[in-house]
Amino acid sequence: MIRILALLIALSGAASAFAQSAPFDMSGERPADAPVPRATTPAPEGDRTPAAETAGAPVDFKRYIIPFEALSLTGEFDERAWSIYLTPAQAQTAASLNFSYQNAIVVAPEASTLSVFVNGELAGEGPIQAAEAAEPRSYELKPGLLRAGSNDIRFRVRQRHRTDCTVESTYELWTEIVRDSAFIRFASGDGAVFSSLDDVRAVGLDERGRTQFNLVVPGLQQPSRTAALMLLAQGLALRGKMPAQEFALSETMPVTGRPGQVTAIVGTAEEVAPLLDRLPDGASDGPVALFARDKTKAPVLVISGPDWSAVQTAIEAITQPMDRPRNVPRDVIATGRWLLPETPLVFTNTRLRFSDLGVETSEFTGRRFRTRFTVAVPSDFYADAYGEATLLLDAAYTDAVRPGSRIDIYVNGSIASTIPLNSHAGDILRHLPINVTMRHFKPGANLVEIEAVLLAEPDKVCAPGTPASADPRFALFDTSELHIPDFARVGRRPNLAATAGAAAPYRNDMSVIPLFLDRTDEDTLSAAATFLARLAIAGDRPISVEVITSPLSAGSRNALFVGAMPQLPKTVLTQVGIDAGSQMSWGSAQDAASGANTQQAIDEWRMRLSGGAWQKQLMAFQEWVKQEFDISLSSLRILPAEQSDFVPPAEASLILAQGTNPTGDAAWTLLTAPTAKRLREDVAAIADITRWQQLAGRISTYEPATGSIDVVPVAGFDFVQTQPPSLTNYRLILANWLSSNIMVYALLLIVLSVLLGLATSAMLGRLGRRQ
Amino acid sequence: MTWRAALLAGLFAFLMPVSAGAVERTATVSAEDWERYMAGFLDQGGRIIDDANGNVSHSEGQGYGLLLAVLAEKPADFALIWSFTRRELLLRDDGLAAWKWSPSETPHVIDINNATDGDILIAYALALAGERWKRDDYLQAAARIAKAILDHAVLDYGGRTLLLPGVSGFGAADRPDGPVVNPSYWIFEAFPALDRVAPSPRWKKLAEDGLQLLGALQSGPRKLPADWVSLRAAPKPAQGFPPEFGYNALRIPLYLVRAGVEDRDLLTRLRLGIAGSDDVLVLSDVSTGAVQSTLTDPGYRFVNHILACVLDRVPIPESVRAFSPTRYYPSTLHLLGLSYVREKRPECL
Repeated sequence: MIRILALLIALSGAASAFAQSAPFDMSGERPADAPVPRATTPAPEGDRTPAAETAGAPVDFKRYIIPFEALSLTGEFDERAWSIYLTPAQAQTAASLNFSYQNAIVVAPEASTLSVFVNGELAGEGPIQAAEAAEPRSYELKPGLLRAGSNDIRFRVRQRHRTDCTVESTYELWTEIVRDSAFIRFASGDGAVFSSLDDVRAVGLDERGRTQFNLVVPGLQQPSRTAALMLLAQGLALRGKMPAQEFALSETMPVTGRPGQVTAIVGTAEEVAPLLDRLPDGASDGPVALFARDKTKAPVLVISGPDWSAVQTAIEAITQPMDRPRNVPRDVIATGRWLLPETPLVFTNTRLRFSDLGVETSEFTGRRFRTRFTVAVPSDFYADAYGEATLLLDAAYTDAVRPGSRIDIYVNGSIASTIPLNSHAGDILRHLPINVTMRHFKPGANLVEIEAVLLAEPDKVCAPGTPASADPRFALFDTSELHIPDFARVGRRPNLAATAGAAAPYRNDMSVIPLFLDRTDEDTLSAAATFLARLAIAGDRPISVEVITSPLSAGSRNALFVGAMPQLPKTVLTQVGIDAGSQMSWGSAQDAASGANTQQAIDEWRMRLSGGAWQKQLMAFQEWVKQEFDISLSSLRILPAEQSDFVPPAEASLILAQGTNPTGDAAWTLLTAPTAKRLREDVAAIADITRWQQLAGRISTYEPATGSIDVVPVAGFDFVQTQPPSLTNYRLILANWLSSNIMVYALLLIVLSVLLGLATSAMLGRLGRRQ
Repeated sequence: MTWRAALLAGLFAFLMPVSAGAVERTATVSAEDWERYMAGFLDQGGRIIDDANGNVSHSEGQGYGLLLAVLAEKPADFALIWSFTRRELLLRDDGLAAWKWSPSETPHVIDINNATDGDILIAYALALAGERWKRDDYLQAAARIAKAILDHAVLDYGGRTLLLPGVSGFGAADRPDGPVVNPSYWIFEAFPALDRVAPSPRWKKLAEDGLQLLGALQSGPRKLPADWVSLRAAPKPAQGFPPEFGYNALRIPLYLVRAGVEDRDLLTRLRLGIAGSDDVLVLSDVSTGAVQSTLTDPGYRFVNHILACVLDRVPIPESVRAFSPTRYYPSTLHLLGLSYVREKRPECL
């Protein structure tokens, strides 16, 4: 062992002449707070070769693995699976998986297990016993387990309460993996060095679960270069596909070698030469895109050529492989880096088996069983008012399960259906149809959760040992299916949910997208690149842009506007429904202090004066109707409500707003903040998948203090045809529209009844014998 | 864990005879200081005015007023503040106090929800007043509120006994990240007194778990607790609240030392996290550790002085030994701090 290690170290030392520094954390020293791997033997201090010592070459390096803000596994059974991409060099290196975890005090260690799977094989498991302080775990990954490309990681818990047998008590069970403690440690630093463009896919995460691409562009501020840079950002983003990616564009070199970052140097050979150790061969002759060394010997992606048009060619060569025909629908949307399996995309009448959705057959002994899967619908999904999907459930429960038990279905966190389990003698359910309203479906990935709440006889008594009992009482089979019927398909304008979920309408646009930037400084460009990169991932193809300097040049094309609020043209604000009066005042502290806002003052006065008794009763009645029948006053309207201009609240610092262009034939989307710096920071925040998924309505605002997204719903919208004309589709569209406009429906019904009456009386008048 | 429990047990034992004894005692808030405080923040009707927040009042302010009146040995002023509190705030069916009262609105109570720290302060002050001045009516009122707190605002969750910041809106079923707690609502010195008027083993458990929780709440580089903490899984700043060590949490060190907690590790950690140069008190973002504001009011700085006194016997600076009112909140903290030093740490004066 020692000999092999020494050999490895010698090798890494020898390689260090080339690989002196690289991305990721490669400090030879293990940080004091990192868990000590049980089996990985770190190189003893004295064993290092002098070469390694002097060059500071990595003995090992680590890759953070948790792509979430927090990895909490809750309830009696829970799991999370996602994938990480490894370069061939990384896959061949001996590695160990390390993490620390902590759990709720009430988790019973003897009956609770935390298991980790890599590529479907159990990498290690152990009891859950860290109630007091975080406990480190380290599992050696056997040779050959890791492979070049995507590798699946799965954390699974089985948890039982120490003393309690109630369903409520299962909510108190949790195990949390400490995010910055979870990483794969590779025994050799070689894997940290990227050598091919494909290795960009292995960019990985930093300790906060974020990914950053640094684009160093000596001629950054030349507007003629912006379009190509935006394309490059998308080409890189589509390789990374990480859940929280941001771009930092600058003219100067950042600190290289951080985990979760890739640095690219973009410019003509003449421009990039001073930043590099040695100009790559061929850069002076033609387009190049390859990894080279910067001045500090760190590997950087060099995209260069003799002149800018050659650089553009190189950028296109990077982005081109990521493109896909806009008219061929995707069958899955890529969510694998944070959620496995990849999410299937459903366009028409489809049946999906649970086994294909990643739901396994499982037998369950506890009180509250949960499982989940995701399914995506396209950007022109229009069945939220009437559509119903069907779950065809194959399940079984024993006679221990008492009546009152039930199965709940949640869609995107909202309850969509519930069915009771009422048999006293247990039952086997074969393709039991459960209607699930599609009301909570939105374009892009949708999370469907199935929860079985099982009240059982033994739990009533709760004798010692009952919480951990091993008698199965419920089973779910992977032959269950989800059936999604044909649904109406028509685009709506504005609809930020479709933009966030599937980059609509920009993804499928035949023309180049006009992009308006108020300035081409580092902050604005970084914000635009981060936003476009996120759009590209949502649409799974790069979006070509052309920089415009006046909104008029957008013509009748779908356009994007990115910039600090004070510099924006007024027409843009008007079109997306933002109060132009607050253009200068928003975000300046002075105004917030004085609070002088007419609209707000009027609203307050209205509130004050609405104290009349009958008005209060009317309000109470409205509330009651809304609560009991889910009918709000707005759904009783015939014409859409007049939308008042949106006044940005002082707490919000980023606005994403969508509206139609002045000619009413294209969508304009605006991304703005009070300053360019805020814009950059907050776009990076909303590009995180957890926040990105919340974007919806006509305006979404982000509040940095609380990290929350607020949505202004769409009141009036235009239909945008996305499908070839077909009667079936029109019928479905009409059905959905009438379901959300019940007043019109009622009127139509009355008109039809009258017509029927008239027709009948006319017919009766003609028939029969006249007296 | 065990040493904390032992410490708490000691704390309980230590506080009980002192206040239960109800012997003749001198006021730890001097008559002059109390006069100045009253002139600044007490209106003639018995209302403590939060002059930094549009002159509203809250149950917490009334509670502080009552407590300071006890510490100043002023039964008449106590009765005045109590009369307002009972008449204007104790309107809820469950026996707890509505938390917000505004002079400019009708009805004056603009939020009928309770704030549990206000309820605790009121009950605590009533219990002390009842014991000191032999007033059964105060003791009974204290017992009623204390029972209501136990019944409605104390939650057993995940093996811990927790204090809900309000009866509604913070529980496990009320929010996706619930239960949410506010660590600064654990007024440790009050629990033994509440246990005397409404005996229950849960008070002790509440105190132990609160202390244990403070040991675990070490967010960010400064290792400080956030104002609002979600306990759904591992403790983290609650959603919808700024992730900061802010105006709420800054009271924690004061409450700890007033209750006689002598956990050096905890107090030292808090001191390192909040002390700025020249003894200013630093409010910070708990995820990044970035400074959000530096508070220079003597009342806020007193939190630092008192930690220095308890940990290192550093004398309280001459300039802040005399009380002069500034704003309601820091001035209240100032008097509570001074009272503690006079009573328990005369060596720092």
